[in-house]
Order: sequence, then C-alpha cells, then structure tokens
Amino acid sequence: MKKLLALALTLVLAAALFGCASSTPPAGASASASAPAGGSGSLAAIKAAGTIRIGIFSDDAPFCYQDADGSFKGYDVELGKRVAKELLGDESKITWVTMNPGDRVAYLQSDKVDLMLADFTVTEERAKSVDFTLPYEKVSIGVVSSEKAPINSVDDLKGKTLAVNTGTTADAYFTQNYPDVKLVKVDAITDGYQALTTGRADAFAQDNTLLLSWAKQNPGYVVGIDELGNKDYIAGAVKQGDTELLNYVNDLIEGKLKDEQFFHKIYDTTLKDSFPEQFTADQIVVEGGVTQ
Amino acid sequence: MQNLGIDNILKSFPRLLDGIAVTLKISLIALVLSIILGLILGIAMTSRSKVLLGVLRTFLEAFRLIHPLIWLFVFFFGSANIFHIQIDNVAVSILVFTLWGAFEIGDLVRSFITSLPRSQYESSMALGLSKIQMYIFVLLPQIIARTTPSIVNLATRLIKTTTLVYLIGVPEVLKVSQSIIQVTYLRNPNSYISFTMYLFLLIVYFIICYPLSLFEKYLEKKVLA
Repeated sequence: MKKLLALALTLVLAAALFGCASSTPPAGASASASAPAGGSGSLAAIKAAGTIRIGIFSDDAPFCYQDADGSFKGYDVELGKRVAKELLGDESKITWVTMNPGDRVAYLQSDKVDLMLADFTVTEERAKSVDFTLPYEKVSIGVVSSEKAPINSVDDLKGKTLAVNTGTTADAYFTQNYPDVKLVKVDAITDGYQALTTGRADAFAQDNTLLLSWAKQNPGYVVGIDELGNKDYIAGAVKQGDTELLNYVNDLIEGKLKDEQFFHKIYDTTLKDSFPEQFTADQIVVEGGVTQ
Repeated sequence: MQNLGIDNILKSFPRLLDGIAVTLKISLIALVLSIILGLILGIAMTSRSKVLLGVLRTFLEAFRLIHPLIWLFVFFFGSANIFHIQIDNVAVSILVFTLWGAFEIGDLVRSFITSLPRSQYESSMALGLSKIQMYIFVLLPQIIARTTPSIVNLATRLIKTTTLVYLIGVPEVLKVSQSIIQVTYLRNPNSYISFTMYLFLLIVYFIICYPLSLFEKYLEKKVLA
C-alpha cells in the first residue's frame, strides 16, 4: 500500500510538473519566452520560429518603453524592428521579452532572448559573459537631483543618499569608486525616479541621456552632473558564441544602416523631442559602429 | 481631472484587464492543482514509511521557509541553465505556486487526519470498508469540510503573492500599471497617475479578495456550527 502510494505520488508530481510545462499557452506576445524548436540563437532557428526574441525594457522612455496601448516604442525598439524586418521580412515578427536591468545577462545566458536591445551599456565585465554588437549610442553616467538641493559634483554627494538601479553601470561606478556614498538600490527605473521625487533619495544616478530627457519633462529637477566616468557605449548583445546573429547585426549596422544614416533618422523620430535644445544627434548617436 | 490620468487608464484598460486575467489565471490554476496535489500529499504525509516522510518533510519545509520569489528564479533560470529547457514564465509561475500551495494544503490535511479519533478507523474496519473506501467515504468528506476555509484563505494569499511574477517578466496587473504610470509621466510630468493607478489596483485587489474573505468567514461558521 505504502509503496503504491509513493509511486502514485511520484507520478502525480511528475505529471503536474510536465503538464504545467507543456500545456500552458504563452500569455501574450510580450511575455512568452519559449525557445524556438531546434536550438536557439542561430539565424536558421530564428527563421524557423518565425519570430526573433528581443530583450527590452518596458519603462525606459524614450529609449524603449511600452505605450499606453501596449505597443513598444523608442530608439532601441526602432533598431529591433529594423533587424526583424531585414531578417524575417516583417517588423512585427518580434517577441518582446521585458525585464529589469539586473536580469539582462541572465536572460541572454539562459537563452531566453536572441538579441538584447535594452539600453545595454558595454562594459568589460559584461563582455566576459555576453557578446556585444557594434555600438549604436554613446552615454555616460549622469546624476539628477532637485533644483533646490542640486548635486553638481561627486563631492556634493557626501552624506547624501543616491538612488541607483541594481546592476547598472552607475551602480558599479559608485560602488567601486565612491564606496562612502550611501546607495539606495532599486530595481525598476521608475522606482529610481520615485525615490527621488518622494525624497527617499537626494539624487538618482543613471545614464545621462535618460536623465536629461527626464529632467526636461520634469521641471524642478536638474541633471547637475551630466558626464561622469568614462564615455560608455550602448550596444546590442547576443548570447556568447552566437556569432551568426552577431555578425548579421554588425553587418547591418556597418553597411545598410550606415548608408542611410539610420540612427540619425531614428534619433529625430524618437529622441530629439526629449533632449534640451542645444543637444545634437552626434552627442548621442553612433553611426556605423564607429566610436571616434 | 486631466492630471489624474484617468484618460490613460481608460485607454489602456484592455491591457489592465489582460493583466488581471494573467493574475487570476495563475492563481486559479495553481489553486486547483494544489488542492488535488495537496490532498494526496496530506494523505501521504500520514504514511509510516520513514523515507517517504523524510522526503515530504524536506519539501514541505523548503517550500514553506524559502520565499516563492526565490523558487521563481530557481525554476525560471535554473531550468534553462542546468537542463536547457525553456519553460514559459507563466508556466514557471503556475508550477511554483502549485508546489507552494500543495505543501501548505498537504500539511493542513495531514494535521487534520492525525487529529481524527482512532475510533473512526476502527469503525470503518468494522464496517468492512477497505482502506481506499475509508479514505473516500469517511475521511475525505470531513477533510474537505474542515480544510475549505483554510484553502479559501490560501486563495487570497495566492492572488496577492502572484504580483511577484512580474520579476520573471510576466505582465501581470502590477507590472502593466507601472508601465502605464511611466508612459503617462513621459507626456505629463505633473500627473497624479501613480496615485490614481495604485488606488485602482487597491480597488481591484479588494474586489477580488474581499468576497473570498467573506466566503471564508461564512464557511468557518458553517463548519464550526
């Protein structure tokens, strides 16, 4: 009786496990992260699946965000659509996979996305775990604070609290170089702004591009430090060893997209309105992967 | 009025409904599966086999003491990294919450069975019922009556805890709301949308969970009466 029961139990557990794994339909295109049949990553597999899985943020306006109607928009999104159009002939054949900043490497490593286009800054550390494409955007760390108590240099941060998003370049920069700055680590980008506006943090450090556009929309806040640390580059990324897709995207950036000045064009349509007047496209855009 | 962001909430209402549907779907499927599994586990936990008991006990403590969020990450990334199987994030959520619920219910069932007077087993034997007949006709009706209030309570906890699944990328109602808040701020920085949106969420969760809570109270009264 006992053995029978144990056996039955094992079977039920197993059935429940596999029943769950296979029978549940994906809930909405933006959520499903199921792999295409026959290994993932290679161009053939993406074509066979008929859709490319692109990692993206849903709250990183104006680079990549979800509009009120649920559609994805922004600079990074435009690149993703273009890649899908070139590769699959249709810019709607994309499975958007949304995530938080700290999970980007894990999503690539565990094969849950083919291409990461979620405002991903190139760093040496990350380059050990994922393969970056040619860059398409420049960025450095900025610090936004209230106009009433502006933070204009790192010295101003003494004894103040600074919000950062876990796992971002700003997080790494302050942890390494200024360990005495009190950090409030939050996951979602929205939470960083909320920490600042509700006074839980005196300042918020993120990519300067992101903060400049936010400060333009939010009177009373100023990007007191607009270039900190090294100039960094934003690039797409693929799982380590997925050279097929890597080369495909690189060829596209160096060739076709450069010829038509694609990134300048999408700067005009997605980013221009978000930045201060004196800002020019060349301060942000990297065309053809050329970084000088 | 404009600043409350109600227009945006209305505009994105289908997405919010989708989010609520995802929340309810995960909770409901997990609940049904965990009731079935929990009953079996509970009976198994009254077994005299030391090995079986040890294994079940370990799982019970693991699912009780370790936060569901950690299980979500373990299953979501672990399945892909170690076994190279891609499990859809909704499926992972259902799996984790099913196991969590099953062990909770299992323990309830176990503690109820062990608290039953010995005479029930003896009378069943005396009536000539087989062990399986005893479980089905004598014990099961009592188990169901006694554990139902706790199961309803588990259901409300399940619905509330499913907000965690947004951390593995499931677009449930909280994540959808945050995305709407962000896009509203982008267009209108002075908006009170975060207040309106979270108030809306509060009402949604209340509407779903309060009837359950009332139902639980009603059941408790009935069982005790």
